[in-house]
Amino acid sequence: MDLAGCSPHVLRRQYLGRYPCIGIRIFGSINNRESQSQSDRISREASRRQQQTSKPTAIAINSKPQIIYHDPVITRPTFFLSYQTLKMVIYSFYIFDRHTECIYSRSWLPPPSQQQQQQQQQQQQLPSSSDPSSQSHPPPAPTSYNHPTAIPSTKSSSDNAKLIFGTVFSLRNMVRKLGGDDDAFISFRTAQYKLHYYETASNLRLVMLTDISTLSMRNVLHQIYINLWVEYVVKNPLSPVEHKGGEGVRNEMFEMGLDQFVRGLM
Amino acid sequence: MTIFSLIIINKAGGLIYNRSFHEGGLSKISTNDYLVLAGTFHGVHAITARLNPLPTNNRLSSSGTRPDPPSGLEILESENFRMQCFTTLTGIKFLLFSDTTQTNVDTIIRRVYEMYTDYVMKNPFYQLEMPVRCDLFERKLLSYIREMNSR
Repeated sequence: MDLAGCSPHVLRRQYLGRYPCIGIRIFGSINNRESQSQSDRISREASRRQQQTSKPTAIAINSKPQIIYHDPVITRPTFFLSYQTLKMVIYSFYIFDRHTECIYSRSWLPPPSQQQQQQQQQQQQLPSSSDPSSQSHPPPAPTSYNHPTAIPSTKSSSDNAKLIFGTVFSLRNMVRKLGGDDDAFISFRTAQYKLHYYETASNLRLVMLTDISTLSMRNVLHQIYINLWVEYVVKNPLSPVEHKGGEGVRNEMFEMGLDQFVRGLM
Repeated sequence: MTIFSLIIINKAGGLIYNRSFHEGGLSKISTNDYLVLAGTFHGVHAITARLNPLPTNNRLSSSGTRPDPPSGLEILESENFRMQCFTTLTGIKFLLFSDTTQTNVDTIIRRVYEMYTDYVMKNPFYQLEMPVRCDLFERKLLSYIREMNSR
């Protein structure tokens, strides 16, 4: 499946009705061979005349140029989506299985800068410096700041996944209680981020964290389920039925497809 | 555009006010369930404030002001309704349930907060953190929401 080629089509189908400001331009061979040669002739003649005379307006009137959209390089129609209206920032993505376990998580956040890491380390050191036991130890060498990945990040990410699952699970139950059994929790927003939720019939839960200006990502999560999860995880003969500990989910095709899809949106 | 109901939760997570304005908007649940719901939401709200994926800096900015602390859940959307949560500086939460097309919820929820300060907090018989039983608040709120719903 050509995902890079498919995402604009998918997006076009999903968003065309909603956002009228999205323009779709179709470039392709609209004209046939005859008109092509004709247009070539016209343009050649026009350029010849342009060289001869210094009055381009007169030429335009005389030659009656036709408006022909033709690009010899692109043979099939291509769709150009203006992403300005869809511009969004995606922070992270989580998949939870029906046993409430986080079987996949992915973050697109840039790693914390060195300055911020130093601040964090200084904050961690501050309380410890007050107790006398730490006085005997020499302070850590400044070279330790240069490590790009901090160790506690892995621990906090699994904690984060648990917190996210708890939140989403409680809110889903709350929504079902208030809105009826057919109601579905879609998203919530705080002042800093927005969380999108999609649950499949098999109780697989997909969660995405984005910035607050992003519109509904339900379609996007649905597309991830259909085009990536079903294609590369469910249909994979080597993947187990239950993905305990994320087994079978972290395959190359799924990860690459997801990364491409999300980066295409951003 | 319809406003379904209003819930007020005190700073300890207890339900102190609950009023439905529209029949058929939300399914009817017992008062006990409402109490559970208020407590659950209070906890979830605290978690959502901590889930902020962006790094926060607590340093003072150049103008000498500290940035706002991370806020908890503000708007919840589902297929059938939309819920807006307004947290006051003292930690009281106003939850306004409306249909998904409702606009100006910010203004409405602030007006409700004003009414609360005027008719509940200024009532000499009202005990803090206790359920709201103020006749004037009830009357003013009902007439205001009725006016909003009839638009």
